[in-house]
Formats: sequence, C-alpha cells, structure tokens
Amino acid sequence: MLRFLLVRTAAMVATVLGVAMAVSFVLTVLPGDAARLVVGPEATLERYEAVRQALGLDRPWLPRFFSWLGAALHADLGTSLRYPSFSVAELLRRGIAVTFPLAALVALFSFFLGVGLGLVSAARLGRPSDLALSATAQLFLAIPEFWLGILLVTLFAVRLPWFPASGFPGWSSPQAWRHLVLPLAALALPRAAYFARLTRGVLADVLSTDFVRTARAKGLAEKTVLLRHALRNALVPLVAAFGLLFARLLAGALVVEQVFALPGLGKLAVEAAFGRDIPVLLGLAVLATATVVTVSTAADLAYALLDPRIRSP
Amino acid sequence: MKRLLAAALLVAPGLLLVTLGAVWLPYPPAAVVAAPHQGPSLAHPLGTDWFGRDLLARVMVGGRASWAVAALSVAAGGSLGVVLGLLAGFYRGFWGELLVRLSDGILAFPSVLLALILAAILGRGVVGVTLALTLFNLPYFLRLAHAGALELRTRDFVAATAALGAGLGRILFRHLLPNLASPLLVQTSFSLGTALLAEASLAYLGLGVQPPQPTWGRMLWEAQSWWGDSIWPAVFPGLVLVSAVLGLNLLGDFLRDFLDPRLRGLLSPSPLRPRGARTGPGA
Repeated sequence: MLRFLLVRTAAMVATVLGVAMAVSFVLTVLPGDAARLVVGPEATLERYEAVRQALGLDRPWLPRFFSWLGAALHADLGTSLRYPSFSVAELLRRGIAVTFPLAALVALFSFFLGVGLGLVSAARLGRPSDLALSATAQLFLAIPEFWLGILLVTLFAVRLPWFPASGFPGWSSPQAWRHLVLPLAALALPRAAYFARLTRGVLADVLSTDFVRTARAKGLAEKTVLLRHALRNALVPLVAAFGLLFARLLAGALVVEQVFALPGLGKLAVEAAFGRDIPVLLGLAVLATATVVTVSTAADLAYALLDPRIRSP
Repeated sequence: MKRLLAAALLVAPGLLLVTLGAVWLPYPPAAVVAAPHQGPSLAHPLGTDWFGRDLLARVMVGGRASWAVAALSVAAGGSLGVVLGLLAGFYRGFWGELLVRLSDGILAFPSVLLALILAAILGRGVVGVTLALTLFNLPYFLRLAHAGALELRTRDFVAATAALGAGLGRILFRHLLPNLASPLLVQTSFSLGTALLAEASLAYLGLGVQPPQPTWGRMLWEAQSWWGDSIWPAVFPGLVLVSAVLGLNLLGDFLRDFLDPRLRGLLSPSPLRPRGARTGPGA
C-alpha cells in the first residue's frame, strides 16, 4: 500500500509539472504582445519596456519558467495583467471560494442520486419503471448543462420567483445557498443520469453472476442481495468513474457559472482568455490539473481499498 | 430496429434543417421580418426573436457551424488517434506507452479550460475551437485502436501477412484496421454527439463562429438576455441540439449491440470508461 501511495504521488507531481511546463510554453508563442496589451497602445516606450521586464518577457522561456516555478513553490503565482493590483493567487482564491463548494456539492449530489436511481432501476430490471428511468437518464445525458441552466432560470427564477436568477452575494450572506440551488441542479442532473446509467449497467451484470444466484438461493431477501452483495461488487467501477468525472465536472462548472453569473473560476477563466491574461491562465491550468489529479488519485486509492486485486498489479 | 428508427427520427430535424438551409431558407436569417417576441405561428413556425428575425431560418443556419466543427474535429481527432493508437499498440515499448499516457492526460484536463487557453493564443474563432475538440476526440480513438492492435498483433493472420512480406502500412491499415471497424464506428457516433454538445458550450462562452453568423450555442447565450420577454428563442435551438445528440447516442447504442454485443459496457455515450475497472467476476 505504501509503494502504491508513493508511486501515485510521484505521478501526480510529475503530471502537474508537465502541464505547467506545456501550458507556459504554449502561452509564450502568443502572437499578441502581452506587454503591449497591459500598457495599451498609447504608452511610452519606457513604460512598455518596464512592463515587459516585469513580466520577464525579455528572457527566454526556460529560465522564465524556472523562476516562475521557484516563486510558485512559495505560493506566488505572479500578478494579473488585467488587474495589476491583484495577485493571481488572490484571484484564484476568490474563484475557488465559489467553484469548489459548488463542484463538491454537485459531485456528492449526483453520485448519491445517480447510484440510488440506478439501484431502483436494477431492482426492477425490464419493468416499466426501469424503462422510464432509463429513458429519462438517456435524455438528460444529451442535454447541455448550460441549456438546462437557462431553462431552470426561466422556469424557477423568471416565471416563478422562487430562486434568484444570477449573481452570488458571498458566503457570509444568508441568501448564499439560494443562489446555488439552480446551478447545482443544472450541473448535478446530467451527472446523476450518468451515474444512474452506469450503476444500472454494472448491477445488471453483477446480478447475473453465480454468487448472486447463490445468495438468492440461500433465501436472502432481495434487498440484502442487492445492497450487500451486488452493490458492493459494483462499487469499484462507480468510484473509478467518480474520479474520472471530475475533470469534466470542472469544465461544466466553468460554463454553468456563466449562465448564473457566479464569480467563480469560470468567470475568471473566460475573462483571462479574452484578455490574454497569461499569469492567470497559467495559474488556472495548474490549479485545475492539481485538483483533478488529486481527486482521481483519491478515487484510485478508494477503489484500491475496496478491491485488493488492484493493489497488487 | 425500432431503436434505429428512433435514432434516425431524433437526428433528422437537426440534420435535415441544416441541409435544407444550404439551399433554401424561409427568410433571410439576419433580416427583421416581423414583430419581435412572437410565439410559433404558421408564418413563423418557431416564432421570432427579440429583433423580429425568423427563428426557424436562424436555427437552420446556426446548425452549420455546429455540425461542421463537430464533424471536422471527430474526423481529425479520430484519424489521428487511430493511426497513433495502431502504431503504439503494434510496436508497444516506451514510446507507445508514453503516447497512451499522454492521451490519457489530455482527458484529465478540463476541456473548456483548454479551449479557452487556445482561444487566448489563436483568437476566439473557429480554428481554436476545432483544435481543442480535435485534441479531446483523439484519446478515445487512440485508446480503442491501441487496445485492438495490442490484442491482434500476436494473431496468426498478422504473422502470416508479415511473412508474406507485407509492409507496416499494409498490416496496420489493410489487416488490423478492418477488424476494429465496429468499435471505431460506435465511438464515432458517440463522439459526434459529445462534440456537438461541446461546440455548443464553447459557442455559449463566445468561442467559435463569431456574429453575425448564428450558431446554436450562441443563439442560446443571446436569448438569455431576453428570457423575461419570450421563452422561444431560448428553447428551440436547444431542443434541436438535444434531439440530435440524443439520436446520435441512441445510434451508438444500437450500433454497439448490433455489430458486437461484447462491446456492451466497454463503450458508453459518456467518455468515462473506468480504467482497469471490472464490471464484476467474468465480465
């Protein structure tokens, strides 16, 4: 187990470093001049040169990357080009405060709702209720999250004034939760559909195995067979999928935040891309990779614990 | 067969409207032709938008970019992925392993962020979006081709072909590839659906085809400013899109079961096939 942990941690660090290098390399071949963008077309040559030096654009890429890395190890990711009074770390921190709780809630909700519905489906395999659930899941898998968000706002914020349509007042406000209900639903429902489909599929396979037949033959209640025997064996692929889902969840959150005008990482990423704010984009790339890799490693760890066969390759 | 029919019926509106739009449009898509915020009527089957432009005409034109970007990125990512995957699987070794790891790595990076970074470099236009989606389609095909080549390379017919003096290209593309046609075809169907969804999401963020040219995703974004006045502009482009994606997913399901029932569970409409996960004893 220790070796497994060490190898995975080393792989994690290597991945994050690799992505940081790749993204920083790609961003240096920008056709637009970042320094010119910051100072504007009217600035004097002296000011332009000063900004260029401050950004390190006068040095070649590799030394610049290493000094960025050295600073990054001290939690200093540089300064935003568009908002020179903010450090990248501070901007990321503000985005994280909105996006991460949302992503975590979506992950939890969709996993438990999806697995629950998948269990119901699997318990009624082939009956009308199973078919209805499967068809609904199929439908939600084809709906883009942002459109679901738009429809939810139109229904539950504009037509029926139950929830606020957009914005986020900050966590200290007692209204904060009401602002997250609709984004949560827009992101969680398609993912719940995915988990429901997966759970049903995996359980259908497990339910046709010999050990389940044995469990039934010895007279166990169907509930026990399903929850104790079948679900336990189905958990490994479900947990694995959970880890893989996270990258897509972050991508989805970036888009859905735009629907609800949430001041999260999505808003930051869109503004940074359109403003060619290189330090912010680089910081976002590193943050996203680190998060995804951490979550998927945790998921790998969880299923190594669930299934000893995976631990010993 | 019932499922094939359902899939065809669902893909049809999106595909036919766009095809028809290439030769005939009910109104010019950018012209104000009636009062704004009208519901569906005989003269305007999908109603009119906030300026009074005909929504049907705009949906018909708006699908062009969506389909073009989706098809192009699946074709490019698919062929590149197949070639690299076949090579990696046939030769194995360090470089093959590295290639597979790298392509897995792409999947661990949020697609939208990648598209945004590319937009910062290449501008907001179609090129960046197509490139981002190509990169995201590649790993699925690479993985399938890699797994297939790994399994087939030790078979007798491959050894026989090599013994007859066939070159690498002939072995890979005349002998290995046809054996992998079924899973690749199924994946193409799923990938097209996913690419349509992704294109719409990026268009919603303002990436891809720029105004005045409409696209489904951007139409939805614009409609959002007017949702208090009329709901139709926010409904119809999405409905056509969802119907097409749903149809492509069903088509993929059908093809999978029809061509090779063993693929069940290996391929799913969502690209999240658990790595090394078993679906149960004997699966």
